[in-house]
Amino acid sequence: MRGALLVLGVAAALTSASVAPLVGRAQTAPSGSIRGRLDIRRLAVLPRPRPGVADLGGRTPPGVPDVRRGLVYLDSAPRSAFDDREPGRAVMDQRNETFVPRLLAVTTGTAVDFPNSDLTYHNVFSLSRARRFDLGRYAAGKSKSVRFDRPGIVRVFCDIHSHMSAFVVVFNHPYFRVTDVDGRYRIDNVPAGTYTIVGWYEGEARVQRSITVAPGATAELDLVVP
Amino acid sequence: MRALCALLLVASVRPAAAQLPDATPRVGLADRVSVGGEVTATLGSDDPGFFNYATYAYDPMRNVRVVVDASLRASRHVEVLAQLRTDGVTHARLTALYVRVRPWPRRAIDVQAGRVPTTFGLFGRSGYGGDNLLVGRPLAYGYLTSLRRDALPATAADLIRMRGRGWLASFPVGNAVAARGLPIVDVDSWDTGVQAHIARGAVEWVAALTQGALGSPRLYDDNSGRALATRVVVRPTAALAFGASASRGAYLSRSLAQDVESGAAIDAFRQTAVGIDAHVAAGRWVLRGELIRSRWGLPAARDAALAGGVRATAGWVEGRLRVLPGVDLAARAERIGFSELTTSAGQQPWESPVSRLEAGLAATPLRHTRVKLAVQRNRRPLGGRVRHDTLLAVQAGVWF
Repeated sequence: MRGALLVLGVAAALTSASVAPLVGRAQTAPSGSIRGRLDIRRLAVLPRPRPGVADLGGRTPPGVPDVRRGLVYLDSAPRSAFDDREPGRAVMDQRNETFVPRLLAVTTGTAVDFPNSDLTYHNVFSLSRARRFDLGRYAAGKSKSVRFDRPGIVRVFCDIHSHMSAFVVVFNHPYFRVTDVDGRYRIDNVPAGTYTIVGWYEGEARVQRSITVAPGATAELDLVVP
Repeated sequence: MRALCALLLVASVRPAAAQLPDATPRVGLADRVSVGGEVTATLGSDDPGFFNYATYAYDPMRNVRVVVDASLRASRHVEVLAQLRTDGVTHARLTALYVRVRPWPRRAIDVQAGRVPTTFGLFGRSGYGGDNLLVGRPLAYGYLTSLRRDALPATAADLIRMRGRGWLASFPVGNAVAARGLPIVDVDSWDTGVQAHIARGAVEWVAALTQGALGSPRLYDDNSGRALATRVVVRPTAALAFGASASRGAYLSRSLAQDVESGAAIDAFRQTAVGIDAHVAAGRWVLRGELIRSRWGLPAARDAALAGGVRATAGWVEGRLRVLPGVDLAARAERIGFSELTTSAGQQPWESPVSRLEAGLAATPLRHTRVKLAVQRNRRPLGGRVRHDTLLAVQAGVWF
């Protein structure tokens, strides 16, 4: 229940940017950067593949999902964030029965390709409110895509391999970054002003702080996810 | 068998860490143990014709089933797997317990020993309710014929008298207490023995040597017979799989040894089955079907009409269409036909043919949950007190 509320809270935060811009248009406002580190103290333990008791033989172990990356974003965005942008394109691969990357952050209007790089079938689907879809089964070398038009958190699964899961987080502003494997992030071209910045990990907003960006300067902020 | 035991011993006593590459970190017990399971609750209308009963112990249409699977990876070569299953609150069984040995980790060659998964057929290893597109199972994998392992008909007429009463059959020879008959394939219990599996490219091959027979798996041998089973699967593309299976094993219990004709060994009376199957899955569609032919040898000392044994031919085809994300439509059509025997009343099938149509709707409201609604129409024109019925069932399942 708590998890569901947190997810709803994050979804609300992702969408609130459209109604709560803090500062003026970027074309006129000088900008700065934010950088730092999202320190994830306890990495998520993902469900292991179900035991293949009914299998006639052993299976090749699937790949290990990368759970070292988190997401940092501005809770409220400048008005310039909502200027028209070219629709983007991103890729979430399916490799060794693992989604790669496991965490993808995109802006609204982005089409995400889901190629199948395995020799077996996959069936990507999501039951999330932000984007409900089912791509059906398709074989190695084939790819299908989904366009994400609503901000929110989209949990992605494979209907055939229950241990496969990933996140697509959709923003209606560009002020977010997926961290590198060491937790480092950098958000550039942020109009000067004061914002709430959020550290997000595995489906939940875990930490938030206030930060002020000065014109032409880089604000440093480390966040800790306990 | 000795060679296998030696292989198991050698593979299991070597320190696990010593077999891992140097770059691989040591793994703890938690990394070696994997647990999964499923809870399924089914609520259906009464089944007075016993079309769905595979055992007399519980009604599968009104049942709560809990399945827990576990595996312990002792090393890169050895894994121990087990499955505990409860039906209702009283019927708990260890349905699987075996060791899987992979002598060469990079090659898909495995040897499994213990209570191993059914080798035969397309449906025998569906471990989870989610694997079943509908609520009911194919008739070939559970519908009870009147044949029994511990009782025998003296004449063809005895057999014909029991048509449609496989859920509680009785015969004059052997155990006189009425009890359940044998299905073509029993998937509620797995057999005990050794199984070898090889996969290379698009071809997969399995062979097994076990204690019982296809319709009568056993934990302990009770007839000195052995069952041989094999299965070959060819996957020309990821969308398509063709399978062929065969099985042969003694099915009568040793308790009948003195009742068969003199000079005949009890393990000479075998169930022999062959099957072919196909599985096609692409886009929003899954289609699969199977044809099985089974023959049971019968002692014919008292009636020569039984000398040729009896046969059954089962066929089923099913399909699923995903109409919306998380919403499926599914249907299955199937039939079992039986060979004829010559009696004073003429040629008659030894069992009543039985057919079933089942259609259903399945919804996945959350990941790892599924709710199914199915309607099932059964028909058995030549036997049983109830010769047709229509059942409605709701099933909810969650797995982890």
